[in-house]
Amino acid sequence: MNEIGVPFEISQPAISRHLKVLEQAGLIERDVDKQRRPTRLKAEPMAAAVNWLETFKQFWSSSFDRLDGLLEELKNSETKGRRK
Amino acid sequence: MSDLPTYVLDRVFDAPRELVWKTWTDPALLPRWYGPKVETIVHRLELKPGGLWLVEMRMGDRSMYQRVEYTDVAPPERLVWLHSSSDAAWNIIPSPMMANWPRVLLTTVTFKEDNGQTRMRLTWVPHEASEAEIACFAAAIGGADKGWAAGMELLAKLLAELQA
Repeated sequence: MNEIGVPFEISQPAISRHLKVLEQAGLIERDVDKQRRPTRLKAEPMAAAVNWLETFKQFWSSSFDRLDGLLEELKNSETKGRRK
Repeated sequence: MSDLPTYVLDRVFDAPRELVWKTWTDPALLPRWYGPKVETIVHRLELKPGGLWLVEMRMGDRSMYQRVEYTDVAPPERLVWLHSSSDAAWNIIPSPMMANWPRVLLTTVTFKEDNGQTRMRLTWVPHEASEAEIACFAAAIGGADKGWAAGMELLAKLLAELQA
């Protein structure tokens, strides 16, 4: 774990806390190996999270495409209404 | 704002702001655009702080439910709500798709008028989330977020290097 701290200008306890959060979220995996704690990224949960956000975004942007159509329709009917 | 991971979605609608506002708040108009490829049923819509917007999205014989609680309603410029998945009795549940997805996302929508068009900004921030939920959200939004997620990416790269 000391190796992880070297390139970052943050304290060892801060890194330790960060890693704990990542582990709780299932995004990394850590072994207990006497003094050392070998750490691995878990690619699958990370990818699942990214994919899920993609689905969420897709939901909204497809909805917005429909909203474009609805707004067009409402604008047209308002214009007609005014002419009468 | 806080140091929580934030996701931002921008969109321009070619319509005046009052009209855009109406499509977001009128229970007769919402089902006509909200939720693509599903039958959207608005069970309740109380447009006031503390009011609920309860939506069912029907896909064949399966339904998904969303529970929205408005926290700020400022026509025609701002809507703020707490967004969650829910069961059929409108109790908040974790996302059926992602266990660690934030159960409640603070959703802010702002509308700005610009030469007859409307600039919309939608932001999502985890609300009263656990650290695991925040980490999951931060990982998902990845490069989109400057602060939190940039640190996550750096860490991810470093972890990859350490294993090489």
